[in-house]
Amino acid sequence: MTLFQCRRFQFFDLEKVDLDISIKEHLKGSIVRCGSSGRGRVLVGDSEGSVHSISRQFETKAVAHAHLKGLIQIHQLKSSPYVITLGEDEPGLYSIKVWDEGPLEQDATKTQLLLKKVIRFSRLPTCFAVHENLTLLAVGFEDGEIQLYRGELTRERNIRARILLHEADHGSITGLFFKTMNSTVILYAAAQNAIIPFDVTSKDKEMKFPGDKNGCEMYCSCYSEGSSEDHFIVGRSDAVYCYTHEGRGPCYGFDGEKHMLYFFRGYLVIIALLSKDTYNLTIFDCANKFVAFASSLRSPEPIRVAACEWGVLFLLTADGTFWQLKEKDLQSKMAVFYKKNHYDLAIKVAKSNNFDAEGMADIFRQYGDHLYNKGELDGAIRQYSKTVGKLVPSYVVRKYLDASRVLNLLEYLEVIHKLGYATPDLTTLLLNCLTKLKLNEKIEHYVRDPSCDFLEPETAIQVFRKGGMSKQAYQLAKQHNLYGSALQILLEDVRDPCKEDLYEVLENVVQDEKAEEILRRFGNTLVQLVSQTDPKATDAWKKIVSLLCKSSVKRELVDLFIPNKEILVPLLENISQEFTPDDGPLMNLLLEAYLEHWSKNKDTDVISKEKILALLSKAPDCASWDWPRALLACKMAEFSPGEIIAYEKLGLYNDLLEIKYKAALSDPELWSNFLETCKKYAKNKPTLWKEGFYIITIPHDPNNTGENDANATCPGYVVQEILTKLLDENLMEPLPILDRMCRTRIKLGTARQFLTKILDRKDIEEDKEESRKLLNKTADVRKRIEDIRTKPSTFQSIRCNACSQKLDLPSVHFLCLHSFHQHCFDSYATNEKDCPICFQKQKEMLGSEAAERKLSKAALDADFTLKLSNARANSFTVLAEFFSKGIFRDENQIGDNKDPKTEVQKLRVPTEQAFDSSLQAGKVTEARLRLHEGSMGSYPGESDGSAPIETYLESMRTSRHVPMSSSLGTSGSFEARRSPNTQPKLGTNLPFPRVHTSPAPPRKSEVSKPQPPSTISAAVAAQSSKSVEPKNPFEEDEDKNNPFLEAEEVPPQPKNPFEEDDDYDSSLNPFAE
Amino acid sequence: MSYAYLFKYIIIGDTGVGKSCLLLQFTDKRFQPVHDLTIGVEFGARMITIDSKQIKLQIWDTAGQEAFRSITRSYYRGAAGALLVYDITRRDTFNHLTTWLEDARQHSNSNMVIMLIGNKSDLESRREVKREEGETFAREHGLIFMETSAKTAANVEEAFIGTAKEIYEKIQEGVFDINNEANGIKIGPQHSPTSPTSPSGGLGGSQGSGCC
Repeated sequence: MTLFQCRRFQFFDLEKVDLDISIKEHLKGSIVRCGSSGRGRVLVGDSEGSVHSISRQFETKAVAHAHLKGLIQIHQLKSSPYVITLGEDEPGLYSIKVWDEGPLEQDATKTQLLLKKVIRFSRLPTCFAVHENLTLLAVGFEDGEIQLYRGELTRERNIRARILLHEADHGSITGLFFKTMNSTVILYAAAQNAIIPFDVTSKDKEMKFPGDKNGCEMYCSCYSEGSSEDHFIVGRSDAVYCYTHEGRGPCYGFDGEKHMLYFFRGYLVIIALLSKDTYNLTIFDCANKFVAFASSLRSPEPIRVAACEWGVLFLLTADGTFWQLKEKDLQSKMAVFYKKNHYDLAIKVAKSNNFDAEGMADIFRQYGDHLYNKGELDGAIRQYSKTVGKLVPSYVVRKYLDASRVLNLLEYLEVIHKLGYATPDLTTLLLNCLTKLKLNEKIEHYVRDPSCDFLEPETAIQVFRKGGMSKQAYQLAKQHNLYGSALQILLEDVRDPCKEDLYEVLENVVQDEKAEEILRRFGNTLVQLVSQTDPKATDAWKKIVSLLCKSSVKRELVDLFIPNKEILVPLLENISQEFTPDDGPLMNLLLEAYLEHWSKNKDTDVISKEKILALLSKAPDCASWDWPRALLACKMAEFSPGEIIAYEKLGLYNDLLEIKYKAALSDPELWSNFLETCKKYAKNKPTLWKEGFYIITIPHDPNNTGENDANATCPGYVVQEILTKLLDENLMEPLPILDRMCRTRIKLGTARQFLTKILDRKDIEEDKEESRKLLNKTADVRKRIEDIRTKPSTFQSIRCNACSQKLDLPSVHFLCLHSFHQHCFDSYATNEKDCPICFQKQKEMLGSEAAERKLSKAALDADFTLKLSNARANSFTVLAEFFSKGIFRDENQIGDNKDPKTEVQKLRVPTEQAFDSSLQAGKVTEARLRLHEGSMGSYPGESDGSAPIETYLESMRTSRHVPMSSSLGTSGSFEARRSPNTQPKLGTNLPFPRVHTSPAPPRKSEVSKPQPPSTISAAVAAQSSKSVEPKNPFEEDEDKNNPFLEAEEVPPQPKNPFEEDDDYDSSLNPFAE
Repeated sequence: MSYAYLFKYIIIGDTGVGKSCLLLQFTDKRFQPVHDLTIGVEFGARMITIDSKQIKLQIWDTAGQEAFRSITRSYYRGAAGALLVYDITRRDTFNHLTTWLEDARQHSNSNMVIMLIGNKSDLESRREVKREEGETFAREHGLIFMETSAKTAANVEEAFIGTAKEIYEKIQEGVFDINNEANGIKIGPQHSPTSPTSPSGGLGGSQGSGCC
């Protein structure tokens, strides 16, 4: 009859032990009556009264001859080396004997049990029970009586029995078990018709529990320990019943006439009699409720002993047939569970075997997978939920995303979050699930309920915001004091936040550590929004600003309030009280704010003015204070006191003077002030006088003639003072001064003193004389060149210029009219081309130039600057000198020109051809000509006296090519003026074609720099009448205006004085070979 | 844990109606979709509070299979309350109620409180037994009626606690003889003012040492 479908497994291997011959031999025909196990052996009692011990190797030996007429029950104590036997000694006489294991002999066969105590009975005892502590002994009798002995069972002393239960209709006692629970000792007694538990904790106070009216047969009761609950288990024909002392417990429906019950290691062994010689063996796992083994066993003899030792269950029949049941290992059990998809059992078994978390998670995952594959997604998620923390969440998440089971996913994600394994991604997913499902209540719940603090606030806020749930996000942010985020939400998500909210958050933000960062990010929007929502926000802002002033972030805020002066000014004022070196811009800002305020009410706003002045006096202490900016601000606001201060600080005295001048124009009394300013600053900067001069001599606006002439004109004493200074300090040439003064309305009388002074200098005449001399000299040179070109030269010298001996052939003649003996020339001359006498001079010149060329451009510039600044009176001389050194030359050109000689060589080639002479002759001739020129050429830089140079430069100025000396005040301005020079690099577009690739000899063009005398004289003549504009000559540096370009535009040949020399035939050359 | 009263319950009904699941949901607050058939009788307990008194519910979960009828019958006795369960998705389980009720009335004491429970109310789509039918049956037989779902836990607590309340009221009315344990009611240890004559009164005298 199959009652049920309890799950069955075969977790034991049943095996008949073949060594049973030895046991049977030992028994010698006697019948096995009872057995017990423990302490590494199985004890068996037989019908002859012998006790046999079976070792692990199945070696059997008799250890005692206990009872003459056979044993009824034997019990081996688990924790002490005592064995207790019950048996019949003589017909009608029975006894319980307590045995000690005795000393363990070397020879195992000699080990015997030693008798310690004997308790005799005259009635038939059916069973007994011994408490492990050997102080309690209960004996049950066939007639139903139970006697309880208290006392040391191992001592010889007699102990008295107490009758626990009198004989009654419950039948004979079939089983007795002691159980200690906490401090209570319970004796379970099974009779044929009753189950009776007793509380035998204390002497004379034994108590009987109601128990049950149904009992069981012999051997059909056992006690389960170590499993989930301790029970007294009784087998009846319909089922196996469990009892506790309080009454009936569960029951398991195993049918069949029970033969024997045995409990070991959580398993209940049920041996039921199927037929006369067939037993049904069932091993039941009480905790996990499955049948671990079921089999039928054929045995003609009844099974008498079930014992467990060494992890193996032994069954022994009356004739000594021996079975053993070995349990399978856990892994194979689990494998079976998996195979049969009994995951619930697997989990239970794993738990009872103390699997670690990893192992459990693995089972849960397998179970989950199984359910998932079966389509039971709800169940699966529950299993997966148990894997949280061990299994990678994405494994599950992916499965459920694929299956679009958002609800399940939600469940899983919640578990993850509650257990604290959430990652931002998972939080996002969770909240996305919620939003997708429109479970707003749940979200609200999460947000509100403090117990749901598993959400990582920042992630959650982000997700909420993405999902458009700004309200929740805001709530969450506030709850977690993430005011930065709250502010962000208010600003970016909530269109029109309530201003109270805004201010509340803002106030909190300001106290936040990250206020700086937050305000930096959202400040602009914030201010905008606030001004939108609350136009009269100023008060609130002021409050906030006052809060902010305490914090270190106030500087960050300045930017935000630039449009809102009402807030800005107090904030800046606060900062200004203790500014740091970096606060300069802020101070500037404050100044600007003040100025703006002031400019609204210029005349009356004294307070602002004072504030500005105070600021201007204080702020410059700040390292990053920006004077130019302050100046600009003052200028824009027309705040002249500020301007003056700024000009002063910046050293812009010119502008300062201009202001003073303007002031003086409107108020003549201030002229002295103007003059004083000049004096004050001119100490350090004499050129200021010049500026002053320019200012007071600003030409009159022709349109503005008339009434305020008196005012517009500088008083005489000022003009005189300035003119005197100009002259004394030699700051300007008299001519430009006069020229400029001519255009003003300054009365001649004012300038009279000045004019007298100039005229007294008398060097005009000297200059004229000098220039005349030079003109003559130039004319001479020209004439001579002309002569050489057109007339034959006669070499008339009769003496050798070397040895002063009479000249004889062969002789060498140079165009410089030096003649030498050939041998003298050979010995003196360093080379063939040069006249040895002239060569020395020439070499000096060449050498000095070469040396200068070696100087780097930068060095040259520096040198020039230095010399120019030192040569106060004679700046023209310096200028001329450096002009000759090529200060204005383009760098590239200089580089090309490093070796002037090779350059000359190169350039000469076409010339030679033009000469139409033999190469040698041409070379020599040309060289000699050059030499001649060199000796005659007047070098402006080297010529002494300033007059010629000035003349020269005046001529340059007329040709608008030399900067005004006034503009040469600083090297900077000089640089500026020079720069256009370096620009026209293209082709030959150079103002000074000294190194021009024209066929003309470079030396020649260099030397001939002085302009034709006509030009110079014209320039000098024009000086008095012509006005000289202080104009940058390079401003209109176009080709047509460059006087030096003419040299290029005109074909070089006509210029070259030698090229027309066609008639100079090679044949005429006396030295031609 | 101390309690004022202990009530013994029994859950009966056809196999597969969800008796064990009801118990599991009530005691462990969980639902096991795959549940082994109950072989014999299983057992569960939980404390509840009624009228600010701690009451321990001791619940016998019986096997519904016909084969176990004889075993389970012995458990009727000594139960103060019974949950008679049918499955709303299976008409036959409803039809068998009469048999179960007869069985229960026959083997239990007359005062036993019986609650009729239509389980699996979550499976509305597969419903075969109308709620009204259940109500009618309960009214006719003097039972309390409730539809529950062990899966969703709907009404599970209410069913057990409702029954307990009924029993408690009966105790208050004096219907139950609380000193007779056969009624399935037991007074908690601290509530026994006078030790009952029978030695079963309690384990009050625990005199520490077992040896003497």
